[in-house]
Amino acid sequence: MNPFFKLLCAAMTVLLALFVAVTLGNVFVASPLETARAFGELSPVLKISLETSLTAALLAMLLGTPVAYVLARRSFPGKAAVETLLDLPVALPPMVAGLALLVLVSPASPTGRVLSALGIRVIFTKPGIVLAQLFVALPFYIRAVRSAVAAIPPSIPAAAALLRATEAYTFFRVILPLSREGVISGFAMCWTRALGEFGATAMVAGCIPGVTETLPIAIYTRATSGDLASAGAAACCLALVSFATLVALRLAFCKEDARRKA
Amino acid sequence: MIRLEQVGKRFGERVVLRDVSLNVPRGDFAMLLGPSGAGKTVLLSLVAGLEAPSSGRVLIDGTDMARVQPERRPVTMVFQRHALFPHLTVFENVAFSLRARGQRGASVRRRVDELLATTGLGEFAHAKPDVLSGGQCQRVAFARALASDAEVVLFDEPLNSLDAGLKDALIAELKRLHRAARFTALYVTHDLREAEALGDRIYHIEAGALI
Repeated sequence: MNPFFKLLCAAMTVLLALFVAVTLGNVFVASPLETARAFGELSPVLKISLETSLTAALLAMLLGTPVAYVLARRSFPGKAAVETLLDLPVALPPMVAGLALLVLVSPASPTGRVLSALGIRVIFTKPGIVLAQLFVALPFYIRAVRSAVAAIPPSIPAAAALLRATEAYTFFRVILPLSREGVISGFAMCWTRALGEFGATAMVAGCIPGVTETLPIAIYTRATSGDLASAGAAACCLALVSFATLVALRLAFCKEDARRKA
Repeated sequence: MIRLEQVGKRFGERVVLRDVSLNVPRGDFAMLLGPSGAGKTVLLSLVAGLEAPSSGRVLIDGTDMARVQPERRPVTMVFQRHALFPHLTVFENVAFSLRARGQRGASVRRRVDELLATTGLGEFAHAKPDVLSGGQCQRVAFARALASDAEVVLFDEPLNSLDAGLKDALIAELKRLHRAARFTALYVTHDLREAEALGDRIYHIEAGALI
C-alpha cells in the first residue's frame, strides 16, 4: 500500500474513533457524584425499559422466526410486497408509526373496541410501550434471521427431508441451530432498537413517571426540564447497554470463528 | 422398483429432460452416465420429489409419486457435497433419520454403532464433519443414508471430488454395502470407469434424453 494512502487511512480511522468517543463522552454532563445520585433515581425507569424492551425482543423472536423462515425458504405470489411491508417500519418516521398504532388501539377503532371488551388497556400502559417497540424493532430481527436461513445451502434441508424428517423436525433440529448467529444478532439488534425507541413509544404510552417512562423518554423530559445530570445518567445507561451488547456479540462470534478455525 | 414413464422437465423455456423412460428392478444398482448438464441431477431430484416433473410419471414400487412429499417417499439420497449437518457429530448425523422417525435410546445407539462399524467410522463418532476428510464425509453420508432404511438410494456423483485411490476404495465399500443391504440404487456419474465398476445396468443420458 502507498505510504501516503496508508497514513491517510490511519488518520481517518483515528479521527472517526475520536469523534465517536468525544461525542459520547459529552453524556457525562454532570460531576461523577451528581451522575451517581441520578443513577439511583433512575432505577424504576431502567426497570421499565429493560422489562418492556426484553418482552418486545422475545415477542419479535417468537413471531419473527417463522416469518423469516417462510420469507427465506418459500416463493409465493406477492412475496416482494410482503417483504416491503414488513421492512416499512425501519424507514417509517417513529412518530408516524406511533400515530398509526395510537389510532389502531384507540377506543374509537374496531381493534380498540375488541381490546376494551377483553379488558386489555394499551394506551398509556406498559403493553403500549411493548407494542410500539415491537412494531419498530421487529424488522431488524426478521432481516437478520431471514439472511441466516437463506445462507443455509438448499441441499441441507433437502437431505433432512430425504432422511424422513418432517418440516417441523428439520426446522427445530437443523434450520434453527444453523441460523443461531442470525437469531442471536437479530435478537440483540431488535432489543437495542427497542430499548432506544422514543417517538412511537411516546405517542402510544406517553411518559407517566413510574408507569410508562422509559430511558429515552427520561432523557428527553429531564433534559428539556433542565435536569442535565439525570438526562446524562439515563443516556449513560443506554450507551452502556448498547456498548455491552456490541462487545458481547463480538466476543461470542469471535469465539465461534476461533472454534471453527480450530 | 423405480419406473419413469415419459418424464419431461422444463424450467421456463429451457427443456432439461425430454420423454425419459426407464425401469430399475428391485435390488439393482443402476448407473446414469452422462456429461455435465445432461440432466442427471434433475432426474434424481424428480425421483426424490425435490422437483416435480413437467410431464410423465414417476413410480416407485408401482405407486405414482406425484402427490407424495420427499419425506414420505421410500427414497434417500447421497449428495455430491455430502450435505452433512455441520452442527451435529458423526453419530448424530447417522442417528438423524432414526430420531426423526421417533426412535430413541438404546435401539438408536445399537443401529448407529453398527453402521459406523460397517463404514469404519467408529473412532470418529463424536467428531464434527468439519474435521473429517472428503472420503470420511462420504462414508458418513453412506451410513446416514443406510440408517434411513429407504428402499431406494439415489447417489448424485458422490465420488466426484475424490482422488483415484480413494475412489476405488469407496467403490469397493459401496459394493459391499449394497450386497449387504440390497437397496435399489440409481447412481449418477460422468465417469465411465466408475459406472462399469459399480453398475448392474448403465443408462446413457445426453442433452436431457436417454440414448
